[in-house]
Amino acid sequence: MAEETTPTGVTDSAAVLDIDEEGVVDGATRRQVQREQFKLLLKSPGFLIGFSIFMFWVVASFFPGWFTTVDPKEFTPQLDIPPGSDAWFGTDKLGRDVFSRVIFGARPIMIVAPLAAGLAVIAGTLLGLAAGYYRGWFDEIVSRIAEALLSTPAILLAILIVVTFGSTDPVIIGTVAVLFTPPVYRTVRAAALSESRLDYVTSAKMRGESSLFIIAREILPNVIGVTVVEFTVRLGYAIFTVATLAFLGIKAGNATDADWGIDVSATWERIVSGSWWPTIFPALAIASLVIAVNLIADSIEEALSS
Amino acid sequence: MTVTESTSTQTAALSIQDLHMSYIVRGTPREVLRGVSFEIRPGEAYGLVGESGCGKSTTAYAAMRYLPSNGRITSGKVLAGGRDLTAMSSKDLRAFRATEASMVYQDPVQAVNPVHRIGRQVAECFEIAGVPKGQCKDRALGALKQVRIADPTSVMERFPHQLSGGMLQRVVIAMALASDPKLLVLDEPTTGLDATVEAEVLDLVRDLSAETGAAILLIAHNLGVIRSMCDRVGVMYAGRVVEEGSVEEVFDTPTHPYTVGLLNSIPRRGIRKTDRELFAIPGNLPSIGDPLPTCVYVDRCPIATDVCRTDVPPRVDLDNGHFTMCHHADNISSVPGPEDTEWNHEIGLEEVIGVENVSKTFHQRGVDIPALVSVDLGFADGETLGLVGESGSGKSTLAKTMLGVHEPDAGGAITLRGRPMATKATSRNEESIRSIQMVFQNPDSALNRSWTVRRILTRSITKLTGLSGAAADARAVEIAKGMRLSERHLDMRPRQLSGGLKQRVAIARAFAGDPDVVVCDEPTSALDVSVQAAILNLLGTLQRDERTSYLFISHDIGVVRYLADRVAVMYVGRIVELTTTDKLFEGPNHPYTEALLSAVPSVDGRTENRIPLDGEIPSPKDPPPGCVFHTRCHRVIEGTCDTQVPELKEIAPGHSMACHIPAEQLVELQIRR
Repeated sequence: MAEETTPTGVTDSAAVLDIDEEGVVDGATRRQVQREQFKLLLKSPGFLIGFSIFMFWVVASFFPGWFTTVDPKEFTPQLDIPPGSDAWFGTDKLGRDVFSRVIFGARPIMIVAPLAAGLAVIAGTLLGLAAGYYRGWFDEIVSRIAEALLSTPAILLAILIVVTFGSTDPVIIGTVAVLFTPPVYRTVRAAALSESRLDYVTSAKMRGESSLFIIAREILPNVIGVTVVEFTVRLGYAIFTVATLAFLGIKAGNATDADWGIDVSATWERIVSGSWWPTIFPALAIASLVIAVNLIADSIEEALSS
Repeated sequence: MTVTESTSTQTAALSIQDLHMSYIVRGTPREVLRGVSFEIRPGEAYGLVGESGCGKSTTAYAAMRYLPSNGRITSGKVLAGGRDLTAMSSKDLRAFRATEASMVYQDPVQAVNPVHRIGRQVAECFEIAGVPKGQCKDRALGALKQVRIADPTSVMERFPHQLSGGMLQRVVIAMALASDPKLLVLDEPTTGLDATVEAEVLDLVRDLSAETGAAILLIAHNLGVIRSMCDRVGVMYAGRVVEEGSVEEVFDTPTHPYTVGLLNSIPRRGIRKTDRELFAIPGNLPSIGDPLPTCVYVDRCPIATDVCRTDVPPRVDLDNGHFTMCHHADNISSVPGPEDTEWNHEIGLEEVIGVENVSKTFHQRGVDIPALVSVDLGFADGETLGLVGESGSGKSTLAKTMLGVHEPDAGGAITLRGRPMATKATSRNEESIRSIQMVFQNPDSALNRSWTVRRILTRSITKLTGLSGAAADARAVEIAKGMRLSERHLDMRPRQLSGGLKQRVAIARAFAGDPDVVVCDEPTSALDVSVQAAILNLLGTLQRDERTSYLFISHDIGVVRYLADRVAVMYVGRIVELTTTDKLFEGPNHPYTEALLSAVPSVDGRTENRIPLDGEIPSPKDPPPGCVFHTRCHRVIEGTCDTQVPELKEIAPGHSMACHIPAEQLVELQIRR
């Protein structure tokens, strides 16, 4: 083996050894990690199923005409016929096509729920960042209010607000946003709190950065992942809550407009008399959307933590 | 050969044979152990060393067959007492772990249950080991006595949070020994502990293994710990043992290029920054899962030739069971060593930053906690002041007070060239902020992970020098070059960089505004020795070229000796000794310094008379009366030390000490090392 150790051999191998490569963790660059996480996401059946269902409802809410040509508000003489070839999901007691109502019913909820969840995430993130960074009295006050809101039964609070301010869509959105701000706040505050203890924040303070700069430019980018997950989770709950409010009859809406919650509420009493389809199909639609969003939320969280 | 080997395999406490293991990461199996083989004889202490990520801990866990959920043994055997763990049923495995092998983990705080009393937890271990229920309590007390914990009866009744790290590690060791194991696996058992506590825990383990006859597998990144503890050592690299032998043979006559590199990277035998540089192994440890078909070290080896890339290196047997896996074992002397430096280090006369009579009292729930008590220090131009002391002695508080994170009590001042600076960083002017900067211990925490390196640097440049836009960018490139970062590193984010590169970025940020003093708070303690060498070299070069002063906080006496010009020793917020580095190692020393110095395990294997430090460092909340050290001092003078506070006075030019014992007497008392 000794004859191999010639001076030329040494120089050759030194040339092969690329000094410039020193220190770069080439095994898993950021882009590669992202690509692998994305691949994992695409391989996860939960995400694929959830995403397909969710996209179906997104398309249905924008282009309901692609799926049905029947007007959901049209009264026909064929009252209360069970699902069959004439009407896939049957008709209700007023002769309206249930399939068409399920498709058209996607739009109201797909507008209200994301807006409400979005507002809650924005408000919760802003408050959480400030409380986690400043701590002290600001944190005390906001945290106590958040706890008070969290300890009140959500639906009760919602009914109270909606009854007081009127059951228009903006009020519903605002109500759900207020209800969902505390849990978002708590999550973001915890994340911001642990970020604030890291040395990069100390370092920023030592070079005289303003608090606003530290919060917005230093800390926020590091808690954005938390807020994305929080948004998907809250979206699922928002769909659920909005449908519940509609079911309870405290959501405005023209009685003839298609709306899943209102439809379930208007028809459920007739299940006992055998007419189950006007109730079950919109109920299934709600369930499918909530489950789809939860599947997406779970698989995103899993992929991010792998 | 085969005969002896098969018999020894039957009797070996642990025999790992050609073990291959993979972790499944993001869906793909990635190889982490690439054929590990070694054997531990009964009663023997075997050490495993190597850089982090080389598979040491994985091997330790595999020895118990504790595998994480994504770990898979792909081939090979783990034999304990002749039985193959990889083929054991889960029931047998449970019985094996309960009675034959035990493990001690790095962090004792995580190894105990915080809601149960110590006594109950230790007793439970005896229960599992099959001791009749009525006797468990007594046996637990006996075990605590055996690990020489202070006041075992009261410890039995206490909860984990009421014990210090060192005491908890003793408890964990007592629990591990409950089953009277034949094999004790210790995974970095002293890494989180102070050198003084580390020395005590190691003494304990050594004594106990002699008493019980248990074989020991010790994982440590500190080569000194391995040298002082083990009979034999295996050097691991990229999931393979590349050299093995007795600690003396391996550390004194290393025969694998990697071992040579590792040993050259630590400051040994009292060398100083002015003597020569440390050797930094170029390149990085391969990632797990990288294909390494021939020699695992070939990409970083300075003497690699073509044969290293085509053939698997042979096992070259040397004397006394010492072997190496290298094609060029007979040519090991051609591995280049560290370079001598020509550095006429001159320390300026002007005091750049002064710490004058600085005290810092924290107020917590109405109680005053004096964390710093009238500290006086000065930094000359181009000087490195080392700051040592156990954790809790106030080192970091001093650093943060200097930087304006904490406000000193009234009466003290931090001065810049004689003029006092504002006490808070936010109210300091640009000049004051620029003049003093900090390098933190952990670059992962100190660098914003969502920022690119370029942004991290340009922001500091803009903030500290007022340059902006293209000018700031040009300066960032220039500084990065000075830190030996290449331009393409600038557009990466911290997590794409290795620990060493991250720390370079942190240093670059500190140097962005051309500071006068840089506070380095344990800047290399989170890094591997070979990376530490590169960082220490860099700090040395920067000091030589920029004439920057450092406050260098470290618990590693060897590193302080290498880099520091003067050393301050702190204890409970007070400076007890301040002198030049040479004098510190010549003596006479403050008894506390004496104990600190004697606790350092050396890779050179010199056995010293260690001075034990009993008990814990007192809380600054209620410091002992008189000399704060008298409660633990081995030279205490009853009646004097416990009543009178010793003053920090000069005992020789440039050598101050706070001790009642006269210097001449200390010289006689301290038989020089």
